[in-house]
Amino acid sequence: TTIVGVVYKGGVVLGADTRATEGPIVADKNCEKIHYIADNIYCCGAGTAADTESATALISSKLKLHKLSTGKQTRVITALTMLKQMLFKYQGHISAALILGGIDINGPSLHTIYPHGSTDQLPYVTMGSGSLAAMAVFEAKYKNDMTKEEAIALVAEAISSGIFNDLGSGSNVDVTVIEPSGVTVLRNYQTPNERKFRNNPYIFKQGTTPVLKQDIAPLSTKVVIEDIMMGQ
Amino acid sequence: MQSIVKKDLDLPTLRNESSNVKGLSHPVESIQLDQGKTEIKLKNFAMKNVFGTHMVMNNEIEKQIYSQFKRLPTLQSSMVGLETILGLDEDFDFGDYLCDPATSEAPLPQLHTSMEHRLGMTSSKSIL
Repeated sequence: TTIVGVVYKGGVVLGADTRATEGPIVADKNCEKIHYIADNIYCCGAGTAADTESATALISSKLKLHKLSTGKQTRVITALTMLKQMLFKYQGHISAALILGGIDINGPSLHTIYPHGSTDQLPYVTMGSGSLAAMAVFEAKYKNDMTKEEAIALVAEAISSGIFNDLGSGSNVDVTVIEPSGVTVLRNYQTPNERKFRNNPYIFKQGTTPVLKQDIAPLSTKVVIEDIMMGQ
Repeated sequence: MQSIVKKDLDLPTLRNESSNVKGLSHPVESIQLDQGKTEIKLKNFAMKNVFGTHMVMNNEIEKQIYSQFKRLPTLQSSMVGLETILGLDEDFDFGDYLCDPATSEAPLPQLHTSMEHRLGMTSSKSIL
C-alpha cells in the first residue's frame, strides 16, 4: 500500500493506490483505500484491510452520533482522539496505519496514526509499504502554500512512485480533495496500468450445446395448498 | 512568589489483571476481559486531581444505584439509567453489532433453568 496526504493553501489532498494483497497474491486490483469519516474528514488506511475498514467505519458512526448530540461540525481532533484511543486499547492488534485529513474550525489539518495508537501532525505524510518511495517525492518537491492543482499533481506523483517502485502497491491513483467548500472524490484519478491485451470474449451461437431431453414440471405438482384455521 | 506544586501525583497502577490469566487463546482476550477497567482508572485519576476525591466517590455511588435495577434472570436488563450516566447511550462500539445475543442462533436459556442453576440446584455442565 501507498497512502499519502498533503496540506496546501486552504485544504487537504489525500491519495492512495488501489492494490490489495494477500501475501504474494494481488487480491484486488482496484480497491478503495480512502474512507469516509465525516462530511469534512476522510481517512486513508494501510495494513489489514478489514481492520482499516471496520476501524474507520466504527469511528465514522461514533462521530455521527456525537454530531447528532452536539449539533456542531465534527472536528478532526475528535476523530483523531477516538481513533488513537481505540487503537491503543487494542495494543496494536488492530493493524490499521491511517492518514487522517480534514478541515474544521481550526483550518486544514493532517495526521498519521500508527497501529499502536501514536499520532503526529505534519504538512505532508506517507504511510504503508510504499511510504518511503512516496516520501522521497515529497521531500524533493514539497513547497509551502501550494495551489490545489499543484497539490493534486504532487500527490499523484508520490502515489505513482509507490505504484512503480513498491511491489506492495500498484494499479491506479485515487485522490480525494478536502476544501472548505466541500469534498471532491477523484476515484481512479490516474489509471497508468490498463491491460494492453485482452482476449476476445467467448461467443457461442445458440444451440452449440445440443438439448437431449426436455421435461417441464407444472408448478401445481410441486406446491401443496392447505387451509389452516386461525386462533386454534 | 511562592507556588505550591504537588509533587506526588499518586499515579494509579495501570496493570491489566487479566493478562496473567492462564489459558487465554489470544492476547486480545485479556483486553476484552479487562472491560475498560484501565480506562476507568485513568478517568478517575484525572477526575480526582481536577475536582477532588468526593467527585469519584459520588460518581461511584451513583453508578451503584443505577446498577441495581434488574429484570428477571434470562431477560436482559436495559440499564437505561446506568447507560445514560456513563454516556454509553451516545456511544457505539464493536459490541453493539458483533456477537449480539439477541441475534444468536443459540436459543436463550429458560427462566427456570437459569434460576435453578443460580440457586445451585443443577450442575452447570451440559449433559451432552
